[in-house]
Amino acid sequence: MPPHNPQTRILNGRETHPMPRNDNDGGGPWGSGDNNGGRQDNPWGRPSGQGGRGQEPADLEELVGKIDESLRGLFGGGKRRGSGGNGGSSGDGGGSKGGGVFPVVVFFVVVSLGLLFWPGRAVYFVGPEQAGVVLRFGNYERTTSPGINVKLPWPIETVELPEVTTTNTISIGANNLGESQMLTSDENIVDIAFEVQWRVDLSYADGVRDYLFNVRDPEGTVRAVAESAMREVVGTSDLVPIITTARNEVSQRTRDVMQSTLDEYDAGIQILQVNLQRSQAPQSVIDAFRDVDAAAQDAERARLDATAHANSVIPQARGRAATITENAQAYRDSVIAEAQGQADRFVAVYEEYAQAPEVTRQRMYLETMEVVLGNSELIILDEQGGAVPYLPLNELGRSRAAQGDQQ
Amino acid sequence: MSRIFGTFGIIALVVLGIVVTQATYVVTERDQALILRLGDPVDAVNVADTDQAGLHFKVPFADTVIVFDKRNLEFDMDPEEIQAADQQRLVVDAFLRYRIVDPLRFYQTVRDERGAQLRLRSIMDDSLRGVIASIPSADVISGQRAALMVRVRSAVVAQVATQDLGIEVIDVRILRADLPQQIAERVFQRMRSERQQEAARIRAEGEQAAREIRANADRLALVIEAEARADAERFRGEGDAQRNAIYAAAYGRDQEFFAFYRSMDAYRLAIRSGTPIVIPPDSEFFEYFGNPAGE
Repeated sequence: MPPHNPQTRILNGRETHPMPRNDNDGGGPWGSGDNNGGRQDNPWGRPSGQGGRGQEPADLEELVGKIDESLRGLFGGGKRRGSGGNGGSSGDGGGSKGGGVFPVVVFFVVVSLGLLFWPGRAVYFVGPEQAGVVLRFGNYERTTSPGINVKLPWPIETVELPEVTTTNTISIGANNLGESQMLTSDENIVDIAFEVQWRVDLSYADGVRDYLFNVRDPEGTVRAVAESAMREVVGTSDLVPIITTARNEVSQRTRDVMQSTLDEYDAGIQILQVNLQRSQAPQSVIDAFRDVDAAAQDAERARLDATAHANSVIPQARGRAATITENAQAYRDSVIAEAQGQADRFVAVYEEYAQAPEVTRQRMYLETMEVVLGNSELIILDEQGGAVPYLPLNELGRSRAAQGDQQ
Repeated sequence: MSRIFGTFGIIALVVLGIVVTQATYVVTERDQALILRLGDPVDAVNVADTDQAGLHFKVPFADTVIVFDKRNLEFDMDPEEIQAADQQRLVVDAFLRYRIVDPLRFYQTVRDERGAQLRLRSIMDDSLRGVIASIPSADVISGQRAALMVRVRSAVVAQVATQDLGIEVIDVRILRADLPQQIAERVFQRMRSERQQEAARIRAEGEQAAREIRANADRLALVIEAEARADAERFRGEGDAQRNAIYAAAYGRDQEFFAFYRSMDAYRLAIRSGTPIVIPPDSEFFEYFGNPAGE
């Protein structure tokens, strides 16, 4: 049986492929999807024996039976024996016809090797990060889990092995200026670079199927939707929040817009995260923005200087105030104390005086005069003499001072 | 005999193979197919919203199968300069997503995806210009973006429907709606001067705050000292008042004696040593000076 019909292939090449088809569709008219770029189900590409060994022999036997039957059908134009029988019994029949056990073993070895090497092989491996999507004549049949799996051989069934658990990253605006400059709602321009992490949406049963069959070029779609969503979000925000406080909000809103857009497409894609890697003023105005930061620091410094001034002036004033009030209190207390002392002294003297007023008064007068006149330059003059005496007051004072110096 | 049978067998096998491959075709999940019987469209298989992927039969040699993509397809427009309502020119970059829903109409009107793209380009161009020309540039590039996309989408959908291209427009999104480079330079200029104003304002505010803080501190210092002086005067007054009260209480007991007593004290303090004093011999101090009898 030829693997494909040349005429149909030409038809496909000329008519049915008006656009260059992407690699996923490469192959014959049977839509063999085994050769997806990078996705391979070559059994030699990875070690065999990852799970599923238990049911393998039974499945193989059944398959061998089917193949045997179909081969016989082709070559003989009809089923000669064991029609409708299961694979096992018909295999046994073949063995007994050849006579002996050895040919049976050889047959199984050949068939097993054939299953692995034959381009349309029935055994395939699904890696731990993959899902096996089996198509029967291009029609979605089932999704299989990681491990060793069995399908009907090509061209009846083909398998596609998309990587479904891998997190894919797209980075936008990292080095392309045109991509990274966006207009904000206050008509400023902001320089943005961001990263989108996405993967196949496994949150619902048909996620893998949607991912494979609903949208052409999923990665390009994610990229276009991401840029559009980011521009939409940035276009409704003001510049200063975008580059300062609202960065998380921008990421979150972009993620939401992207997810709802992709859900509208039934793209089977889940946006895990949008990371803003850079959101700043454009290079040519960044100096002006830095000057605003510098101004804020200048203002803060002026404020701090003033506060420092206040912090020194006020305590100093308090100190001076304390000095003033303390001095005044000292004056008050000392004045009172002195007055009290003098008053007490007077009272004491007075009480003594009250005992014998005349005598005390006389004595006090004389004692005072004694001291006062004793220290004075005493001149006794009788005014009744009539003559105006000459008093050399200056000389008197000087001689007295000279005497004081000599002493 | 067996050789003849074998030759016939091989011929029969080849013929069978040709017939089988000519009589069948496969439509995958990704594709839809249009069947032409000698040029006459007889069937469309696995079109949008049906699930007919798989093996199908056709009349050998008479039927031609034309395969179209069934998936959500992108048409990306090149960036274009478009004038908004306020004569401001904008660079608009948009993309459209569509799928083929009627392969026969699609084949008849645009034949293949390349033809569809040519047609979509002119439709998109027309719709974008029509919608954007009625809106001021500020609305295009900012707040009205979502509403604008809805309007462009409905304009595109209407045109696609009128032309009956067998296409369903899924989404129209504006990727970029920006100012041309020379205007971007003006924006940068404006941003710079805005930032400079902002910086000047912040510095002035800082200066203002600093002055306020200083003035306030100086005022407080003055007030603190003045209040202290006021307190000090009160203390002094208190002291003086108490002194006066104490003196009054003490001296009030005998005013005449106080005058005498105080005078004595005053003489003693006021007259320094060496002060010349002229005194007549008949003064009271000399009462007994030349007169011991006291007469």
